[in-house]
Amino acid sequence: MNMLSYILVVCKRMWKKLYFRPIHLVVSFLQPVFWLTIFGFLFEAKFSSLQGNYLSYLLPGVCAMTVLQSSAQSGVLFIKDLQTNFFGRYNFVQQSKFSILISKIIADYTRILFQVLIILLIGFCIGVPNIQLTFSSTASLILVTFLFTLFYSSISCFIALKTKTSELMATFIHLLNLPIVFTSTALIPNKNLPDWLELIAKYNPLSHLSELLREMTITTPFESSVSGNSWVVLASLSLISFTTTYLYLRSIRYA
Amino acid sequence: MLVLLFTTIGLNDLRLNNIAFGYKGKGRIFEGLNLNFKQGSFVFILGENGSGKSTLLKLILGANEASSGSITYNNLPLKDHLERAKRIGYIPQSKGIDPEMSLNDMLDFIAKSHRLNGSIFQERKSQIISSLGLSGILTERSKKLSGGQQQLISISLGLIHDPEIVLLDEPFVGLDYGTRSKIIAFLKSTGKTILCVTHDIDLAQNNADKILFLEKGKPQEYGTPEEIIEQQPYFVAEVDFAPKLMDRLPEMEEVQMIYHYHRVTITCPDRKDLTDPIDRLLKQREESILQLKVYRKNLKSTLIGRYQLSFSDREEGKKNKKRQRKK
Repeated sequence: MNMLSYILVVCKRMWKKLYFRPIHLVVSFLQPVFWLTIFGFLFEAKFSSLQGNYLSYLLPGVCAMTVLQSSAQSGVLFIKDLQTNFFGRYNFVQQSKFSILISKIIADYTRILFQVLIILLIGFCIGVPNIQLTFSSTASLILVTFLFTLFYSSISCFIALKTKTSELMATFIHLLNLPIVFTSTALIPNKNLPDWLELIAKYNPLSHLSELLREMTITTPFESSVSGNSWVVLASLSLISFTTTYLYLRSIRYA
Repeated sequence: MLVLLFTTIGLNDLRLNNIAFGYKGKGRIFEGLNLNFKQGSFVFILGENGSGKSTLLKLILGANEASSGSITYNNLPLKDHLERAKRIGYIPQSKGIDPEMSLNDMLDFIAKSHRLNGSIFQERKSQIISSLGLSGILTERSKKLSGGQQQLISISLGLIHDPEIVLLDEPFVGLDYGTRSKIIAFLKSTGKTILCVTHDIDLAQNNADKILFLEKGKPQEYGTPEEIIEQQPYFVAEVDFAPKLMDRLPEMEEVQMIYHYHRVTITCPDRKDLTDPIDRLLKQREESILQLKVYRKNLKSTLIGRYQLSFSDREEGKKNKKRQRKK
């Protein structure tokens, strides 16, 4: 009960901050629109040999990219709290470090889930064919985006706590996100990639997320190109990265 | 009845037992430190920069971990993080507020982080807001407020969970006299055990139940202001000289002189020892003295005299004198 109350107040803080600075949220919706309209329509002809429509292929990929990029921003609030010394207060409240970290990630997750649902709605509005969301597929979507958020937000928080500066954090976001996106099957089908990239894309966590989202939201059965069970891969990665960040957070003492 | 008994025999005190601590690669700050803070007392911690004042607070908070020894409250060790968070309220030097949030939101956030809900929270919130006079800025985003108002917010956040021990690290910097008095009166009225780090000796003398004076991690003085002053009273004089004649100041035995630009602060245990040489000086070099102030004994003069505070200033003064002679 206490933890739930704490999660709610952390969520409230995050949403209130977004309300005061809505630009971040607006940009997070504009980017996918650009990807879908400019990139999507540009490459539609190029990938016409695809089993289904390219926009149907791209939409879940753009959702996956949004999850990646928004999760990468998770550590930013930690950095701001460190800079204003508000972070010091986390050390002197009656909450465990586990509660502090999981509540922060859950708060970010509510934003990310909202973004994914809005992007699907945008996709529907601009005429992306074959979108279908059932009760069970929505539940699966909620779970899989949570697993990926847990995985990547934990990494972002770890880097924020370790570097403590927004410059290094920004470098991390740009340096890591771009290769992850372009070595995955989020935007381009695996068979259209060069051999060496095809191999990387098979194991890329973003490919796993993209393909699961495709299964859940699009009726066209696209050919799977990832290695291993995507659920197991994402669950394992999220467990490892969350545990690492939690142990690190527990070990540091701020005042 | 039981509470009264515990208080009388000191069971509810905050105790530091044989504490040793040092930062990595910087040697030991505390070695075998034993202190006892009586429940409900307002203790001011004084000392020069680097004397270990803030480190002492961080040890009690658990932000620093002692390499040996224990800290107890109610005769039980303060080990667990949650236990410390419940019992201790911390007001940091650096405010620690979120500039984007309002006082109302921050109080809500911190209170819920302390598992404080419902009517208890509302009651506590109204009490703090009215006592610190914060009702006018409740919904303002804190970045729009003055430094003094932000400091008041920081204090209210540290007290919202009604802690038994309050640790304040230079909380009065940038606050006007009236606001300081209001905060101190409020803190005193709570009857909590309060440890306050400050550089303001006068503030400490006027408000402390006890004063702890640290020098290089060692508690040199621990008692009421009156006890500290009476043990070995000192007198102080501030003399402003014309720059050219700085080096003509006669040597005075048994006094300490601190040079700072054109001002010399002279302290000594006996008023006569202090005034006689100055009188002679006035007769000899009447024209060279711009201003003379002689203070009656107080905590500031006592501590300055006894522990040669601002020693670096004196060294700097000697260097200046040498430079002038060379010219």
